[in-house]
Amino acid sequence: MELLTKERIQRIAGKDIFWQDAISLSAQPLLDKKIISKDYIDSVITVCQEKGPYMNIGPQIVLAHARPMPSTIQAAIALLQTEEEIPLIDSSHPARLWFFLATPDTTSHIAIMQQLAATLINSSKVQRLLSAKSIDDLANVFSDK
Amino acid sequence: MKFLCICQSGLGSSFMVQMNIQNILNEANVTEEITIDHSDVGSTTADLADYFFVDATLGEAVSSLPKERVILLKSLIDKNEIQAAVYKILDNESISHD
Repeated sequence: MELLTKERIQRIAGKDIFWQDAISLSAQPLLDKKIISKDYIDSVITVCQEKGPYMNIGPQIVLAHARPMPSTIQAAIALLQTEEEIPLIDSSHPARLWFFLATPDTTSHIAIMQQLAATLINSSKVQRLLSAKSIDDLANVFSDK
Repeated sequence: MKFLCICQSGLGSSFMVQMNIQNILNEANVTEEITIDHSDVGSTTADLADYFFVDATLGEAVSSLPKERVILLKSLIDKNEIQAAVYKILDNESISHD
């Protein structure tokens, strides 16, 4: 099972938008499929606003997530790449890869997290994600082509 | 020996750190039994583990934990940084590793 397929990956220029917009947009494929509802996206943005930019888990990478909500029907992940850096909360946390994670409980997302951790600890894969110029480029990193 | 990885929600970033530490321990052929779990900031107390791994931006939120047992990570996906922190603990505790 691939971690991320094309339907869950988006790519934008990212000029003149704020981190809240980036997080909302990154979640859009999951919202469209009714896997999550808007209350979960709001919760993620609130947590991020209140607790600071800890979701900036590595250089240029954000893992947006919050506590499970009843409206989330299954564990899922989506990705938005922005060509421009967007600061998460403040300028010391610029990001271009916006992962959005949702899970209905505390265990359903284990397989997703294992694959995501294995991908992001691999610096050459992260480099490929950052230099990707298309949705295909991004998807290929997860299908290992 | 127990390691606890902490983040605000206790299921995303902290879980990722847990997996990265587990892989590092496996690669280093550590035979000593080390339990690794993840949790959220709010429910973490000093008695829950021997060492705590947390994102540096959440440092203030875990100020009640004993500093010598808290490892603040700048990146949660930098293998070199996590490896150095884990090896330092192993060496302090005289636990053999590759």
